[in-house]
Amino acid sequence: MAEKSIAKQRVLIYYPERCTGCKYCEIGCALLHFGEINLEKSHIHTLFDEKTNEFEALVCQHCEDPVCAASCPVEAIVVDEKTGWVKINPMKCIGCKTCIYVCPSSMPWFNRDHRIAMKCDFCDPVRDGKPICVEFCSPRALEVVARAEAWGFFRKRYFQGEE
Amino acid sequence: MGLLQKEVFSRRGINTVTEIEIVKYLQKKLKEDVINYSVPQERREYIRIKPAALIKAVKALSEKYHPRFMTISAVDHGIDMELLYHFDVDGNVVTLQTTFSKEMNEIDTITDLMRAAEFIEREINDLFGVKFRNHPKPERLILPRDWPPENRPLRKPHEGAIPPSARLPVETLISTGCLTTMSSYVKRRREKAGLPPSPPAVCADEEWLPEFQKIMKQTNFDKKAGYDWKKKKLRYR
Repeated sequence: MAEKSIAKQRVLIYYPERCTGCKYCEIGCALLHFGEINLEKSHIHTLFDEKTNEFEALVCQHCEDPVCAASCPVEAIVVDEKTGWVKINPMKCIGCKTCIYVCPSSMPWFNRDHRIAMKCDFCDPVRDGKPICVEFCSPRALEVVARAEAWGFFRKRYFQGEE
Repeated sequence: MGLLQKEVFSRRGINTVTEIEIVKYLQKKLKEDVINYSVPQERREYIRIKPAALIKAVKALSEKYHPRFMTISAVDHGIDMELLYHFDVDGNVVTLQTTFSKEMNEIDTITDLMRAAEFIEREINDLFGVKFRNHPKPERLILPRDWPPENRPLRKPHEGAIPPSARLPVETLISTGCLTTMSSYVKRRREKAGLPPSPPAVCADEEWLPEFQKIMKQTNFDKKAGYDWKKKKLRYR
């Protein structure tokens, strides 16, 4: 992808101070992708840290240079050239779990029913890239923004303004 | 408010609103669509609204505040169905109560405003048989596909508080003011006690009936019995 289109790529950002931990994002994700309310089958997860009293969401960042795609032995994981979203081809995946181990936040997960790895696809084929978790989140803790905006957001949040 | 709660709130930058503020705002926006309200405790409000004004109420809430949609509870009262919409407004739990008759059995969906209500409405439709108008995906959620559509697991029969044997007397009592005839034993006992054989009935004079029915309405007897004033009979029988 060209530099310009990377900056325009749509990604999810998460405001922990708005999150209430209702897990509706997980319910919506599992409901859309699998038609059942099963939090284990969700592509997004929210965690609560009791020490700091803060929430954190585990969600695929759709990296610019994804390690999961690099590690895949059968090239089942590809970066979409137009949108930049990282997706797993379920027909090619052999279920070796390599992507699960190499991902820093272990975002792909192994689906025992289908025996393949699955991860967030940004609700692309069904909802035209408008993720259901964002709509299900009524406190607006999840938002879709351009990559350039997300860079600033993450820099501010995790590095406290360091350049 | 506890100390920890205050700290968390200030850290989150939440402007705390009082219960009465929300109630007054909704009353101002909805006017006569708000039937009544109650604030039983701190940070807890119940606001009873007309079912037709539900969308308007949710829109008004989300215009000023950013409510978090919590859940919908359904209560089956026999002849009426009650839906409770719970919202979290800056730490206040606001409950919008709507009651509609089972003959109508329909209410507008709030899915276009609160997307997370989608699966809860589907579940209520499964278990109680309430139809949600303009729902984007009115399908089964938790019941099996071959479940008979007329059989809803949590839906009570369409019946009021009056038992079957007493329904006809109650209906005639409300509509005409007359009870069924008295037995001869009662009449004899009344004569023995020096009373006329039958008590002075409301139906003896036409002018007495409106007053009698007014008392019925004031004591909410007609609502409890489930009486339809237009059709002049009970809503179930």
